Amino acid sequence: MHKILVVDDDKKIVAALTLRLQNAGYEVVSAYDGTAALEATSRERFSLIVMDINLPFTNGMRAVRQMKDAAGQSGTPVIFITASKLPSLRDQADSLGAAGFFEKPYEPAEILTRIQQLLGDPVRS
Amino acid sequence: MSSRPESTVVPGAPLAAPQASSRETTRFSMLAIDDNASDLDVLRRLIRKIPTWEVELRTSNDPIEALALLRDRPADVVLVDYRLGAVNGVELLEQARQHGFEGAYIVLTGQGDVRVAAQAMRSGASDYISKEDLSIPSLQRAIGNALERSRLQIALNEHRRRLEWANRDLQRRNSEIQSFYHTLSHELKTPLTSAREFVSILMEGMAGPLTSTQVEYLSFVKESCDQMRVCLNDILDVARMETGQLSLRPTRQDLSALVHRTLKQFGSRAAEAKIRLQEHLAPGIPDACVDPHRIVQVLGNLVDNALKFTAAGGVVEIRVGADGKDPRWIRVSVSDTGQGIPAEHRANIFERLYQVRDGSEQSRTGLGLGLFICREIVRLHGGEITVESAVGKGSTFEFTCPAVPVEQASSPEGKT
Repeated sequence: MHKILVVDDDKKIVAALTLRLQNAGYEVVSAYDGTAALEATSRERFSLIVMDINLPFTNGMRAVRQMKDAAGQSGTPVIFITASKLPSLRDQADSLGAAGFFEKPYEPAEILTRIQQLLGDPVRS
Repeated sequence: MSSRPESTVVPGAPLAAPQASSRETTRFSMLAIDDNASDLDVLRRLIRKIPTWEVELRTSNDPIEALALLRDRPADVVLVDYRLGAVNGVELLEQARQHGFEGAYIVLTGQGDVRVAAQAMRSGASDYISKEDLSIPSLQRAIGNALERSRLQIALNEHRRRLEWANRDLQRRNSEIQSFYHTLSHELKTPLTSAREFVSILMEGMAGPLTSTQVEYLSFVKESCDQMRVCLNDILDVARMETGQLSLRPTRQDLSALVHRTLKQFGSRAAEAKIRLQEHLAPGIPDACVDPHRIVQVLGNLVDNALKFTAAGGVVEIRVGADGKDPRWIRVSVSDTGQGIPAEHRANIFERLYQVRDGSEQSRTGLGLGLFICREIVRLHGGEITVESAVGKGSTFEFTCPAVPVEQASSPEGKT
């Protein structure tokens, strides 16, 4: 089963995404800050990461940069979600090879569709 | 300057009869710099003889000391000997300027030293006096002019400082406003996201079955969340526009595709309101060079308004076509069969915060930013937006988008 890491400092958003992803058949691990996310990716491999950008301790961009540097996680697709409208963030996400970029409030169906495109149907995998 | 007797320095000076125009007492401070003590004595005596002057005179025969004196307390005017040993008077005053001296200075030159005089004037000296010509009239003239110049220069500097300060203050405030709006938007969107998320989760039955009434009520909450999101984005856009920080990312775009994308968003709302939503795309429209998100935003705002002010059974149409007269532009229009805009409001509806308040339910919603945002986005693209309207019949908003230039249009590169 595909395992997805969901990172956001708003626990309610993590709860909502977790519920949706579990309903869609994925296994979900959650983290509430960038440092915890890095710990999680050093412990285990994920099929995909959903990452908020404005995070305590280590922001989402920096966390992903560090993950890409670390062996084993460099190919993991990352989908960024952010409440910020800074146009430069999209460019930064692109330069990190982001698999998706969604502004909050996001349309959950769009994120789910993108994840299914990237990972395929969770039931068959 | 040698220590000549005064009488030879000021031949025939009108000692007791100063010029009529300078009868009032002139008070000022002055620093005289000369490495020759007897020259300084002559100067001191001459100045004391001018009855209309009340001079706070300091003297120095050493350049370093002179700089310290000026730093300690500024002088309205400085009289400086050009030849001061290691440095010359002009260089010394340039140093004094760097240390904040703003007054005027007069250079004392040797006999017939025109080159020095010219250099002094170029470097910013207010005047020069050849030591041979040193007299009460020459001092009165040169110092009188220097004082006037000094007064003007100090006023000008003060003015410039105030402007610079005001400018820095505005820039600081501008960036504070920017970051405040970013924080505000971020802080409001985060709770809005989870509110919208859990409403959707409930509506989708992920927390158990709901009655149709419950689903309907929750859809109202979701709609309200979406309205809030639009308002937040509008506020942020306007903040950026006002500080000149809204930038476009223009790429080559097929406007028909952007129109399709926009109309898709409004399909169900139009159907619910029983309004026909139509598109008319002229054949052979060239590609446009626009920021797709921003043009969809303009189209969205215009269609949203059109639907808002059109009654059931009405029609909202989007037209895209080439500009008949100018191939550099593509014309896009959104027209409705709504209530129309009275003539007195038409000129102002694109202004920030302008809203037509006619008491109708539609006119009371929104922040009054939508059309302002449309105009600013269209202008950033170099185009313009206009409105035509007939009360009771409807309105047409039309804007222009830059077309991709013909030579580029035929290039083999794909669309970006």
